[in-house]
Amino acid sequence: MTLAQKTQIEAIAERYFKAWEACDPDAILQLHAEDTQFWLHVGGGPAIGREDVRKAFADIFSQWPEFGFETYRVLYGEDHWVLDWALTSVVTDENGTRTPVRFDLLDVVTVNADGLVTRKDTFVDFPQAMASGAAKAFMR
Amino acid sequence: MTPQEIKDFVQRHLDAEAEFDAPKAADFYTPDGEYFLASLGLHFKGRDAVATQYASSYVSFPDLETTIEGEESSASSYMHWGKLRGTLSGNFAGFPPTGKKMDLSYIAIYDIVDGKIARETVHFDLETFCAQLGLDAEAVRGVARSMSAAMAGAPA
Repeated sequence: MTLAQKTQIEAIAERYFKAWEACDPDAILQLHAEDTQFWLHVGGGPAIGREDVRKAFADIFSQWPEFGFETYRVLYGEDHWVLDWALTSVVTDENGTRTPVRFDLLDVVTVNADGLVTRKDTFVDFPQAMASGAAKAFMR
Repeated sequence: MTPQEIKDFVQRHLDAEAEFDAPKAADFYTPDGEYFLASLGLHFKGRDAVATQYASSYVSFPDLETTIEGEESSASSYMHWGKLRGTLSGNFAGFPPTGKKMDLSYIAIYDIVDGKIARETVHFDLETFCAQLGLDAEAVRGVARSMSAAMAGAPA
């Protein structure tokens, strides 16, 4: 990978991370290709196409109030990056008790020659999510 | 180690795995190295435990095959992802063989310390894994929790 390629993929990733920080599905989808795919590997299949992927991302922000993330590390390749991260959220139960939630995830994100995301695979540390009481949200 | 040296080193480890040579695969770990099966929350600590984990997986899936679709390395880590394929032809965590096949996505991360694997973390979707293999996911999770508790009390 040349320095130019590394700089380019890092710049794309930076824009992508900012859109996620903003919890803005429309801004995120602007960085996705038409034939994009998102696969959250917790029992279901992939969301395919911008509309379905947009809905999947909107569901995530809905399921995880006060969505945030902490980056452990990012590895960059010519046409992809791998993000090792933790999702943070605050869930409120029926009694109004607010509980902070945190669990680890791994993303593999692939981009095309136009710099648009064609595929995002997310793997969840499910036992950790379960221990934090967050697993129910995946089972809805 | 450079990223390329790390990549080559892990490839030799993967070659040992492909040969179903559990002790050789475990020799690539630090003495207190750890194999973390994130999908089940199981930590196998120390070379002997790592070797046992590999050997167990070869018993469960004698035709286990890893297809790498992508990889990346840095100065201290290596990741690869792709497909895991195999037939549940042997016991798995106390569950009898079902003869069913799996074909599912995975990602594996290796943290390298002093030229050895200090930690390997493997993620895959347990729900899909169990559905494809005809196993009850909740029952598998229950066994994994018991194993995890037992291993936490065992010396590394």
